[in-house]
Amino acid sequence: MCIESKKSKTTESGGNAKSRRFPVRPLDAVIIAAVVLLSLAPLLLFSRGTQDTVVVSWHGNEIYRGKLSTPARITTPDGLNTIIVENGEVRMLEASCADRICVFSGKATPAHPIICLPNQVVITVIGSDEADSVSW
Amino acid sequence: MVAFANNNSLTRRITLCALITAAAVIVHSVEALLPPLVPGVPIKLGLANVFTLIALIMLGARYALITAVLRCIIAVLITGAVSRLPYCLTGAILSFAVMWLMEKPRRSDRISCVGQSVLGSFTFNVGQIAVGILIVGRAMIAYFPLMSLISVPTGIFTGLVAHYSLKTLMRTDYGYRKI
Repeated sequence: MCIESKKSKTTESGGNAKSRRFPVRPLDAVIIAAVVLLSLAPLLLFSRGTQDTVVVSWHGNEIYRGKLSTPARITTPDGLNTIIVENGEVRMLEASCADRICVFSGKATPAHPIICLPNQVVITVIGSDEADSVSW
Repeated sequence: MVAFANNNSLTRRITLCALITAAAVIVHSVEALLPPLVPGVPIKLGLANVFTLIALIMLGARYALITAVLRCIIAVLITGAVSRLPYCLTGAILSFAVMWLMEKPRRSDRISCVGQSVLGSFTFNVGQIAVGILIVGRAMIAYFPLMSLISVPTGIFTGLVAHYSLKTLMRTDYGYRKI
């Protein structure tokens, strides 16, 4: 009885359209495309980074505060460090110290401030949006 | 293998549901041990969702919902991450609901398990992020694009897993119901 029932099921599914080798249907591709578009939608709706604020402090004192979107070139009062704000990002352009870790650390983000320890310069980016400051 | 006289008895369905749930709990717990794919972002393969889909197709909506809910509660207790219960529960119920809605087009062969599973894992993420927004704050939205983009390949994978598992399962005595 067991073998018989197995056999009948196999033939049943063999004649079924679902037993084809490649299971994906054309509408599946539509679903996948829709999901991809839906997941990219927030990126277009919340374009980030333009409203962030750059704060440069030198020896513990704030010497510059401005929007990340406004280009600026800041030199510290002692002339040892140069900071550049352009293309919506901020980075250390020049530093007098030997290792120049700050120069090589690239652009500052809310999660990763740039710190030049020898010259006591700190570049921080303050996110305007909660989402930016926490997660990026 | 023993052939039963009544292939569709309530006892049989409950037992099969329990088996599927047990397998889902195991897969969920093992998956929780794996390190996250991207540091800090809770991305998982979501293999445990396969079992919701299998229960949905083999047993029907009621058993699938039971599998999804019980899987979350038991697996969360086993892994000890009880704080993840609301995320998991909301995601599992939402993805069950969407997969249930997709059951009719799948039965009429307009879509396959793959599309169903992709939508399921997408709504799982939507549910998780919705809970995250309630608990953590609006910041969770930032995770959404990455998480749901990755849900596409994982959804395709889990859909294929479900498809081929079902193909085999339906040939056994468990497959009393036509898929």
